[in-house]
Amino acid sequence: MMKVGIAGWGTYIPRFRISTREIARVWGDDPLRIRDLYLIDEKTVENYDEDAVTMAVEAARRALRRSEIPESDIDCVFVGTESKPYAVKPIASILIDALGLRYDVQAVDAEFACKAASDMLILTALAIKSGRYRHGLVVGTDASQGEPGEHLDYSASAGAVAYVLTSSLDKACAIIEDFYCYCSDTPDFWRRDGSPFPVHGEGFTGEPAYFRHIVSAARGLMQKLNLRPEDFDYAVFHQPNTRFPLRVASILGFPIEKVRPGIVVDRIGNTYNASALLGLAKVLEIAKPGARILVVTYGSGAGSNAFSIVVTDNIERKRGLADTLAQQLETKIMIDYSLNLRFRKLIKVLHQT
Amino acid sequence: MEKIDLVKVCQDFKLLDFTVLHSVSIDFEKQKPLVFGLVRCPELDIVVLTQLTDVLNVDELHPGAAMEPVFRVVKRDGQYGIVCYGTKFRISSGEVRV
Repeated sequence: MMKVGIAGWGTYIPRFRISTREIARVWGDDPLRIRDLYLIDEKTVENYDEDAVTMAVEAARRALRRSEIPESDIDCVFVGTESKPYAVKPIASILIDALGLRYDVQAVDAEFACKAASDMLILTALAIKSGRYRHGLVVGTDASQGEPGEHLDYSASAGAVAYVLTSSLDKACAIIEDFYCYCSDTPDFWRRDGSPFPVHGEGFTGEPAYFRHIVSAARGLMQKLNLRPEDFDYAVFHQPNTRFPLRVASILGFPIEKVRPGIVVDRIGNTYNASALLGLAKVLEIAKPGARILVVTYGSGAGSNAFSIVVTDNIERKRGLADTLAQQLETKIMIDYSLNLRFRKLIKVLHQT
Repeated sequence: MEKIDLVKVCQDFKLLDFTVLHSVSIDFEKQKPLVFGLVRCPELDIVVLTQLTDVLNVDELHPGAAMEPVFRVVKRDGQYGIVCYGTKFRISSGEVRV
C-alpha cells in the first residue's frame, strides 16, 4: 500500500463556452446527431490571453490554498501537458515564480498525451513515499488543439487541475492507496512536431486504445488490492466524450450512479491532461469521508494509470477553502463560433500578438 | 535599485471605474477593445490601474462590482518571441449573468 495524502485540489476552467449546437450550425452537421455521438452540450474556450500556463497558475493557487501547506514547503513542481505555449521552455519554472515557491525545488513538464499529469502524481507520490520530498505540486493543464470542422472541434477544450500531495496524512483530505499502470505502443492519436492539429489513427481508436488500456489498468489495480467494483463509491475515467466513460464503466461492472458524479466532459469538453483529474475534483466536492474512488486516466499512444483513493474526515472543511468546480461550471459566458476562432487564434493574420 | 516590498494580494477587490479603448497600439491590435479599470482592495487600501479581462459585455461592469485578480498573458512578442505574463482583473463569478 502506498498511502500518500492529497492535501488539496484546485481547478480552473475558462469562462467562455461554445455549444456543440453552434459548432454544428457552422459546419452543416446535424446538431442532434452530434449530441448523440459525443453527449457533449458545451465546451470551454480559452480567452485570447489564456493558455496552459495561465490556467495552471490559477488551478495551482486554488490547490495550495486548499492544502493549507505554505508555498515555501513545496519540494517539487510537476506539470503534465500536451499544449505548452513554448516548444522549449517549461511551464513548471513559470509556476515557481508565479506562485512564490522556493527555488531549490525540482520542476519539470511531462508529456504523454492526456495522462502525463497522472504520471506526475505517481512520481510525486513515490518521491514522498521514499522520504525525499514532503510535499509536491502536480498540475494537469491543456488548451488543446482541434481542427475546425473535424471531430475534435466538438470536444477539444481548455482547463487545468492541480493537486498538492503530502507526507502529512493529518493534512490530507484523501489518501492515495495505490496505483497501477498499463502501457503499449498503440498509435491511436498523435500530433507531429510543427503540426497545428492532432490526427486520429482511426483503426486504432476506441477498442484497442481507450478501452483496452483503461480496462486493463482498472482490473490490474483491483486485482492488486483485492477490490471489486462494489468496494468503490465512485469511478472516474478519462473523458474524451461522455459515451466512452459510461461504456467502460459498464464493461468493468460499475453502475452508472457511480460514474455520473465524476463526469465533466458534457459541460466543458475534453480538457486532456485535466480531464479525469477534474472528474476526481468534482467527486471530492461531494464525497463523504471514507468514500473510495477509482480514477483511471488515459493517454493516447497509449497508456492508462489507475488509482484507488480514499476520502478522509478533512474533506468537508477543505471544500470551502477555495473556489469549487461546481461554481466554475455555473459561471459561463456563451460565445459564437467566430469569437471561438478569434480567441483560439485560428484566424490567420500577419501580426498575431 | 529601489527596495520593493512584496504584499500578499487580497482576493476581494471592488471596481471604482473603467474605460474602454478601441484605438490601441500595434502590439494589442488583435485584443481590441482593451478595458482598463481602477480596482481597490479595501483590506490593504490600495488602488490598482489594471487591464480587465473576460469582458464580453461592458454593461456588466459597474462601479462597486466585485473583482478578482487573474494570471494572464499580457503580450506575446510575435510568433516566436517571449510570452509576457502578468495580473489582470475580471469580475467575480457572482457578478456574471449566466
